[in-house]
Amino acid sequence: MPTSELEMSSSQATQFPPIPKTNFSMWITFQYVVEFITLYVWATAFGGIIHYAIDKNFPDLLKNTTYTSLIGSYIMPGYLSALIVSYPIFAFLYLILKKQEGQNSEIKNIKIRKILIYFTLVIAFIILISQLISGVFSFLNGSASLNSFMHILATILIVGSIFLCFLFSVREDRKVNA
Amino acid sequence: MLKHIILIIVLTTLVFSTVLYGFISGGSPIEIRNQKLDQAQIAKVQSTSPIIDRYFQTNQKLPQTLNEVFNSPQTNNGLEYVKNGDFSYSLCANFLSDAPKKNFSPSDYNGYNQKYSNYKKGRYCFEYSVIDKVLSYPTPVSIPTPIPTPSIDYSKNGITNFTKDGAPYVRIIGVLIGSPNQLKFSLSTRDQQNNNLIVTIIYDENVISLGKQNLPLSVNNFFAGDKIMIESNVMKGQNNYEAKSIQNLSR
Repeated sequence: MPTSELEMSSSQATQFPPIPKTNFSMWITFQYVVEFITLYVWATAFGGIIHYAIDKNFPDLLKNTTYTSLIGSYIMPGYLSALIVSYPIFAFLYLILKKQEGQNSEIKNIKIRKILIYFTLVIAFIILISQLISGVFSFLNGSASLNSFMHILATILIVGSIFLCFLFSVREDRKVNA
Repeated sequence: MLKHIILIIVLTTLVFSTVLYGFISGGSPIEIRNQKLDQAQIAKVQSTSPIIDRYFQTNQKLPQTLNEVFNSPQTNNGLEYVKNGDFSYSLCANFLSDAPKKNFSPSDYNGYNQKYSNYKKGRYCFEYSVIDKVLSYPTPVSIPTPIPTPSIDYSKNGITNFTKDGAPYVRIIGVLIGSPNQLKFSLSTRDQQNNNLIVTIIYDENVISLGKQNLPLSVNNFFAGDKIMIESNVMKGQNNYEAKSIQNLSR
């Protein structure tokens, strides 16, 4: 075989075709953004109702109960309406997007999805840390009570669940990409 | 996918229970609406009472009906006015629910907020007295200058007689010697038929208690050295009362 042909064949062997990039429509990006917004809204409302229930059932002697119940009675309908409206949208979008992610794993690499997940992780982490700091502070400050303990526990459970959920999601993504 | 469906089912159960709790603890929307309508009735009662008081101050009598106070009959829609006597009246309204239970803050213990937070479902009446408005009657031309009397020892039992001068106004200043926290007074006149005599006790420039004759009065938070002023006022210019006495019943 002539040398020129050899050179030609080797150059042809090294030229791989470009990896096809899947272009997803803006609709999926929109769905992710809406899913995360509704998550923030219903998680806040859910937490608000739980905190109201804690104040009502485990009152703190150091707190002004009149003020607490007054605030609660004004905000409670807001929490309820936020939960009623945002949660079904979140649940629907969550299932739709998970289904699409199962059918096409490339969706998991969408930039907006990753940004939203990491943003949520950072925010959740800040809330968790601040709750733990305030818990230790109230203990050292002498204002620790069953009420404050339950408040911290509720926040840690709600925000911690979201944090863990997305942490596992990130780990799964890494396994797939590896 | 199954684990995601399970997650959503668990979350939905949690959210549903929370919404249910919110409805139970915060009240159903119908209950909340009823409470708001009741609050509107309370606001109407609260705004009507001062108007009737002003009417009394101006005309020296309570109106027979609300139409005398308001020009338009529609203004008093939903409120019922009942004249109970010369100096008292009631404002009645229909309420759709009982007053919501409320923990009162110290600032509410003046009785004002409590008064409007004890209504019951159905027709409920708020009682009012205009007896304190007597003080704002036109002042007589000559008012005797209040002269401090020798200290009146309220810590002793007995009847304290006050000067009789036959004038429409008698003002007497007494200084408390004992240190009672609570004094109970009963007012009396020799002229038992004279319903126009009003006796007012003034402490620290505020009217703290007032009443017609023979009505027991209870006054709290007196201390030694406190000055009180006792003022009698005979309405409609009558000056035929003879004397009055204040008896300390606290001992």
